[in-house]
Order: sequence, then structure tokens, then C-alpha cells
Amino acid sequence: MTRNVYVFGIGGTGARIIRSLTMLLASGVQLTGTHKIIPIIIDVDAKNADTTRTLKALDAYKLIRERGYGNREDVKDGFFGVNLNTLSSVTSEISGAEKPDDSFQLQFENLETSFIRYIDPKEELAGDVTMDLLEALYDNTPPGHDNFSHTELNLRLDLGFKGNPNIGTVVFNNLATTKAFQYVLKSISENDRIFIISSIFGGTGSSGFPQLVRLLQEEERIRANPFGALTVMPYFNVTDDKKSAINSDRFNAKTEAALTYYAKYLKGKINAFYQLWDRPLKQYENKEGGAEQHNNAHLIELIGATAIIDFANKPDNALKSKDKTVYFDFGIQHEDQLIDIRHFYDTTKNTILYPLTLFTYAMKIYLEKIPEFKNEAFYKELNLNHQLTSDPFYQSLTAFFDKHYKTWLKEMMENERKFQPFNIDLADLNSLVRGRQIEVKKVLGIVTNGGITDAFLKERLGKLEDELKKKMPENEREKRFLKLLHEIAEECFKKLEKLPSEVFH
Amino acid sequence: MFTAIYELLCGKNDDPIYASNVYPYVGLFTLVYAIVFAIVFYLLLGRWRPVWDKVSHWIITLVILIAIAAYLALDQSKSATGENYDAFMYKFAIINAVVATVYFFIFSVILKRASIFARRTPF
Repeated sequence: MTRNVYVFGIGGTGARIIRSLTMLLASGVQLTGTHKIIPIIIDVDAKNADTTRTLKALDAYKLIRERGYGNREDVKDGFFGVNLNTLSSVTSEISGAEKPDDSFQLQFENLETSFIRYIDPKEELAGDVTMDLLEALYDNTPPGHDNFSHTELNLRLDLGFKGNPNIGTVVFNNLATTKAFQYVLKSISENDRIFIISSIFGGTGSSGFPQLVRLLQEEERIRANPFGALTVMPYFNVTDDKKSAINSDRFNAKTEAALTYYAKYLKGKINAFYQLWDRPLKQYENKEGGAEQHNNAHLIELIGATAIIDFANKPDNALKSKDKTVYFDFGIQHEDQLIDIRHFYDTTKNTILYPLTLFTYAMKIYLEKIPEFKNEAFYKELNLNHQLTSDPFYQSLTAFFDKHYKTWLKEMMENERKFQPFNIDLADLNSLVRGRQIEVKKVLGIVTNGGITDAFLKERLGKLEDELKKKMPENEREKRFLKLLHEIAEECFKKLEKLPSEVFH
Repeated sequence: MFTAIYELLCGKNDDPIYASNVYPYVGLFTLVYAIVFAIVFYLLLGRWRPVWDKVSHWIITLVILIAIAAYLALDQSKSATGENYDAFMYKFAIINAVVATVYFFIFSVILKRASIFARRTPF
């Protein structure tokens, strides 16, 4: 029986891991028994750049899949095969619940104000003992002070909680009253799975995670559904900035406090608990949120996304009862500052890195080779001369490969620790996969096998398109093109023969 | 059939050998050459590899066919009549080149659908 998997990404880290998940699903990572993946980003920081670009990647994916495969549910493999969709796509009519916008984001209400105005919108607490309590609990630096706008009571909530889970808890408590959340509760059926991603060292994720578990499990009907969670512990620092509300010196203390709280409070509520951390090597610029919070993609986020794949693919009998929460870590074969495919174990290579390799071949061929093949028959048959520049499907595909996937790879390549599985800036496709070169074979100085050359690509693209055209009608041209990209990537992989491997001692 | 075509296009020659020997022979071989050239272009090379499938290749193939067709007409006329080249022979050669072009064009339209790499050649 197929099921939907609801993936809640809380805060900036949640959004970044969903961004990585989007890339994995686009590459064709397989999901078994899953009908739809419903990513739901929960972030009060409406302008957070990490969230914004994740939403753009999700929207591009959705458009490509809809144009490529329509609403067909039998398509489950190949690029963009997984049905990744919005909450509003789950069911057309749920009685008693207002359908939310066709968006991947769950919107809070009434957050365009400061924390104190959120608690006391009509200023009724002035002089009251409750206000004394609030001032005792939260930073109440007086007006006129340099740091006044950064103090806890005066933080603007639509800019995020800036590392203050004590504020986040109060705000998340009101999530249950929003129409969108009511729709979430009603749309989840008994067979569906729920996965929650959060960081433990910030403000939004650490406070939102336990609150979200509580709010979801208040709904009796879905209390027994399988719950999975990924908690990301510190994997980066931020620069010191006395004017900022965020201080990475407090990351570890906050992590410890949150873990202690989770150990007590979340006992018996989660079936599978994934935990990730890395020694912080990178110091990001200290940005409190908004459009400036634009953290580069990190290997940890890619590994975090594999946790969602793992949870979605677990057979029902592998998920024990919530009393016996199963904990998962992720390890690589060898400690290094620069990671590539060779550092991973075979299971990850086969399930994650093989599809990513195919997708990277496809990206290079789509962005760099196909535009040079204007005179080839397959190019004309697919009417690419016109379609590549004017059709929304191809525009979205170009944006996905160039602005989303390529950028995501480059960011991971430049981050610390570096993840460099591919030489994406080299024109030679024989050198694309780090650690495994496709050898050019020569006899008496004459090339007998040039590997992945333009001539090879033209020939294979022509023949593959000719075969696909016989199987697929003209009105499925976008699907045919996605299939063509997948098959040419497989042909390239045949030249590579296998992913690189190395025995580390 | 070929005699009728050429007599229509070139006019009737007083020498009966044209109608009995030259026109049928040249007509048949021009047709066969056009078919063979189209098969090689669209089905053999056009399905093998993208090495000879562009419009420029198609034009070169056609020019070679035209040269062969013209030479065939001239050579056959000369050897059948036993006379030196004359104006009628040149006229016949030019018209046979045009006929070969028409044949090749027709076979191109028919066979290009069965090609892989020359499916859109020449248009």
C-alpha cells in the first residue's frame, strides 16, 4: 500500500536540507512504497534567503514534473520521477478545512510585529504583574539603548527567532490555530509517515521541533503514524558580532540543553531518530536572518536528506514502536577535509551517489553539449531551437540545472568540509567523476575509443531519441526529453563502468 | 517509359539508336544510381553514425550524382552513336542531371523518415 510522506523542515536548516532533498529526488533517487513526498517548510523568517531559494527549487521541480509526467502516478523512476508536491495537492476536498495556497511553505499568522506586541497586541499588560514576569524572563534592555531592537522582547518575529528558542516556543504554540495547520492535520491519513527536520542549536528549529511533534500528536487519528526526525547539531560557527542576537559560543550549550529536554519530553513519540553533526570547520558571516541569511550548501545537509530517503524506504516492520525509538547516525569510511565519492560506503554509493552521477552527466550534457548540437536531427525533432528558449518546461529545466543544482554542487565544493564528487568545471566529460578517469584508448596513435566525446554523444542521442519516438507519442515530448537525458546519462555511466572506490587504511 | 520521358524533355532525335539503346539504358541507370545514393545516404550512413547527414553532405552527394548522371548520358550517347560530342548530347546530359536531381529529391523525401541522423535533411 502506498503512502504519502510529510516532511516538515523547520527554520533555515530545515529549508536547506529540503533543498538537498529536492536535488536528490530530481536525480532519481528511488522511493519505495511512497506515493507522494509533501515538503512543508516552516519558517517565520519570511525573507530568509535559504528558504526562498529552496522554495524556488521546489517550484521548479513541481513544474518540471507536472509538464513531464502530468499527474501520472505510475512514473516513479528517472529524473524528477518522485511525485514531490504541495500540501494542497494531497486531496481536493477535505470537509471543514479551508484549502491552503498551492505553496510548499506553512505560513504563520500575525507575525509582522515584535515579540511583546505579539503577546500583548492591545498593550493591556502595561503595569501588570504579567509584564513584570515577561521582563524578568526576557531581555528588557530599555528603549534608547544601542541594542534595544535586538533585545528579546523587541525582536521582530517575521525575521526569525535569531537563536532564541524561548521565543520560538511561544510562537509555535499558536501554529495549531492557523488554517494551514488545520489542513495539514486533516490531510494526513493513517498510513502516511511524518518526518521532521530541525537544527538543535538555533532558535526556530530547536523550539519548533518538540512543539510540532506535540501539536501533531494531539490529533488522536494520526498519533500512531510512524514519526521520524532529523536533528542537526552544530556543524558551522558564525563570526563574532556583538550587535547580533546570534552567538555561536552558545551553540554547544544550547545543544546540550535541548538534547536533555528532548530525552525527557520526546520519549515514546518518535519511531526513528536521525542525528547529524560535524566538527565546525567553517565560520559563516553572522547574519541574523532575512535576505542576508544565505548559507552555502553543506555536505551535512546532503547527508541529512539521505535520512529522509532512508526513513521513507523503511519497510513497516523495520519501524519499531515509539517506545523503542531507533537512533541512527551516519558515517563515512575515512576522515578527510575533502570528501568525494570514494569516502562513502557502497549502500550510499548505490542509492544516492549513482543517481547524482547520472544527474550531473545530464546537467553537463543539457547545459553545455545539447546547445552545440543544433544541426542534429534529434535536436530538430524535439524542436529544441524554439522550445529551449520559450517553453516554460525547458526554462524551468535550465533554471533547475543551472541556478539550483549546479549552484548547490558548487557551494558544497567550496564549503568546509569540502564535498567534491565531480569536476563540474572541466569541459571533458571523461574527467567528470573525481577519482575515476575514463581512459582514451589508442592503437598506433589512433584513437579507437575516445570515451565520452561529442561524436559519441551525437550518435547515442540520435539513436536513443529514434527509439523513444517509437514508444512515446508526440504529445509526451517533455517526458521523452527527460527519458532521453536519463538514458544518455546511463550511456555515459557505462563508459565510466563503476563509481570510484578506494580502500582506506 | 524512359524513352517517353527523355523525348518529352529533350525532343526526338533523328537517330533511332537514342530511342532504342541510349534512353532506356541511361534512364534505368540514372534511377538506380539515385536510389543507391539515397539508400546509402539515409539508410546506411544515416542510421550508422552522424558522419554524413547534414545539408552540406546532402548537396555534395547530389553534386556527385549529377556528375555521374551527366557523364553517363554523354558517355552512353557517344559510345552508342559512335560520333563526337555534339550539342544534343550536352543538352541530354544536362537534362539527365536534372532528372537525377528530381529522382534524388523524391527518394530523399521517401527515405528520410527511415533515417536516424538525416531525418531532417535537407529540410
